Amino acid sequence: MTCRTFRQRAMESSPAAARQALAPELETHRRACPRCAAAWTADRELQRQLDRLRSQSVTVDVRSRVLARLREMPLPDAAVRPARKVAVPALIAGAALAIALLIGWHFPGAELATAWQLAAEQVPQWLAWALQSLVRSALALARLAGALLLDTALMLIAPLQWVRQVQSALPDLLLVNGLMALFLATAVAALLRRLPAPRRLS
Amino acid sequence: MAERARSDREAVCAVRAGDRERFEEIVARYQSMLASLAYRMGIARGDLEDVVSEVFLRLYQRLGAYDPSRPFFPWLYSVALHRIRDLQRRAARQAWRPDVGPPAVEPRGPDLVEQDQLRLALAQLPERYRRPLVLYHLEELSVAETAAALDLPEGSVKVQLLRGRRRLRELMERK
Repeated sequence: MTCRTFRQRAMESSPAAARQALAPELETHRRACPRCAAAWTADRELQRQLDRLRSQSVTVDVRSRVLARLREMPLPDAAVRPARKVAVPALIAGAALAIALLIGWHFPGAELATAWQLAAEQVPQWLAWALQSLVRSALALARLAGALLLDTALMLIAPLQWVRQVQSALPDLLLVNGLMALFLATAVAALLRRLPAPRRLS
Repeated sequence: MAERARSDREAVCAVRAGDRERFEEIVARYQSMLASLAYRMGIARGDLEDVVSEVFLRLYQRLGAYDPSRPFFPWLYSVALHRIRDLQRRAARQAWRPDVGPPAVEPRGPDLVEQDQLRLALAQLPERYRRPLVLYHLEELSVAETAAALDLPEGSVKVQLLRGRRRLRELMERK
């Protein structure tokens, strides 16, 4: 048995298990390894102290005090912010709509259609154009945030130019917008899953 | 356990419907438990009544946010831990120190000194370790209940428990 296995089994278990005697194979290792024996002893000592602290009772009686204060307060407010399960789809739908509108607003004419119909060899040229567009957009302070997001999305879909056979299956720009919106909405959803749940209103 | 859960739910629904007096049931049932929690989180004995009262008032204010389809117990812990943390932060801005017992002039037995050391070590732990340790080891919540109270995945709670216990052991060994 390795020291790592010993520590995992003997010292990283539940408190209930930590109060029990060691299994024979663990006991054998403990006797053979002074370092594990010392660590195990310290862990048992900690468990003993935790048990003592837990058994220490603390009592208060705040009933009259709390009730007196409650009488001065309004009833609990049931109005809360939407929970995450409601907030996430709403945010995704909002983000998708905003992106679709942004694309339509930023490229009102045939620019996006032209980009989509590029031949594979024209892609670098198109990328240069996209970069220029990005710089141009960055300079337009009023539209800075939306333009950056859009140009990034356009660059991300550039590799799709190589699968031109898909192009014929795309009826119009609406589908392109929809795909990009879906992609970004997925990214937003993935980001949201890493964030803590929205706090409710008190 | 199921009886208590049902009773909690009924009391909460009654209070939300306007019967403030039913909140007394909740206070009576949980006041000592919350006092123990606050004490283990580093609140001084002399401040326990104030802190527990504040926790119940916050609980009352947020009762509208409680989802009766979920267990009351972990939600109560969650609200209490947030409130205790807020009060500790506020007190820290006013030079709060974790109280580890009465003034030094009062004689302390070896057991109490040992417990003071453990509470001091707990107070020195980062909050991300202290909260799961207190809930799991001292309040005897299960891993699932601890995870629900902290709004964390169970896997994260297990990792924090492991690391917290190691850190606590190291802190205790230094004393």
